[in-house]
Amino acid sequence: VSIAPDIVSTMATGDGVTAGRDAATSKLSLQDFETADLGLLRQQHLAGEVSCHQPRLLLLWRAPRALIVGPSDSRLPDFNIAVTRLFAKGWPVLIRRSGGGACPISTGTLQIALARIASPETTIDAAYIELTDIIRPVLESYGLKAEIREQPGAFCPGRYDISVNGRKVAGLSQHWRQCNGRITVTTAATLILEEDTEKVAHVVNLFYLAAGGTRRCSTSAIGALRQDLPVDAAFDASLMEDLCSRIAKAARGEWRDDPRRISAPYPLPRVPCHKTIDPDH
Amino acid sequence: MANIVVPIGLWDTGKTPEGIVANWFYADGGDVPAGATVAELMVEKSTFEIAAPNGGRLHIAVAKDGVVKPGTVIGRVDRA
Repeated sequence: VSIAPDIVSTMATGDGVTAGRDAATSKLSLQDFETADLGLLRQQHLAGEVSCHQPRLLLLWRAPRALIVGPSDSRLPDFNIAVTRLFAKGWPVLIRRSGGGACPISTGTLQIALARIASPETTIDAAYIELTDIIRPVLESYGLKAEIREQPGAFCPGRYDISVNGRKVAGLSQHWRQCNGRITVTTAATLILEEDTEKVAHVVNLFYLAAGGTRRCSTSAIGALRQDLPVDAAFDASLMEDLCSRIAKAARGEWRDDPRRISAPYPLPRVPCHKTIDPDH
Repeated sequence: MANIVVPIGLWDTGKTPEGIVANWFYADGGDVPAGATVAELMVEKSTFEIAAPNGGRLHIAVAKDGVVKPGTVIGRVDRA
């Protein structure tokens, strides 16, 4: 994927980190991909771009419909049958490197990925919280109360599900890998803005039924931000753009002095570079 | 000989008691180069790649789908 500097959708985050290509502003543009596999590939390459100068990078992207499954789902007995069946219905199935279950994406969902160098203090939980601490205040800035907990019955349930009004609007997963001699961690979220939740549940259930899996998804456990926002929301025409702008601000800690919404310390401390592999020793 | 260990403190066992070895990328008894990704753990929707601490012969102690915690020795590499 070739990315022109003017549309690059990554930025460095944290204290005084200005090496990101969008570093001079809080603008973080959304990158649209023609297909979900291109977006997923871009996300998976993000970890290779972190460095001492850019220890954390954020990527926002969007793509047409696809069902992105974890590695364990790809080992279901009739996985190939499910892939064929869903493709015929307009839902290509992709396998991601992070864990968890099936997660539908579409142009009505926002993909958020935060890659960082793992310091010795970085834990799986800390890396999840790092991303929820960006997303939650953004939702609160819209007047929405976000809860971080597993949402039973939702697609790809996990401890760091983000729910609004008792319905899951975002799911997170994570991938740790060695990259350029360092351990990196990429935490990714899918945030549902506007999507037919019945279709979301249907496609997840269709996949598991066809693949021979036992997981199921309930429509009542899934939400979409659009339906939770006030009717008179001024950003109606460009919710996605407005959301990206707020995420950029939250990632940079620009709202740290805003008493209306801050619930976590921003910015997060800059991590030291930590070489984990030294072939000379 | 060097042990292949699930990093201590990798996750909060108070929240997630256990993980599993999701995959071994080399066969038991096979030769592995230093730094190569030899195994993958799965914990709370996270996949975690584990590298060989040195090159040599791999001995698997915890098989695929086996349960692990931080600090668990999942295998070792004997220098060739």
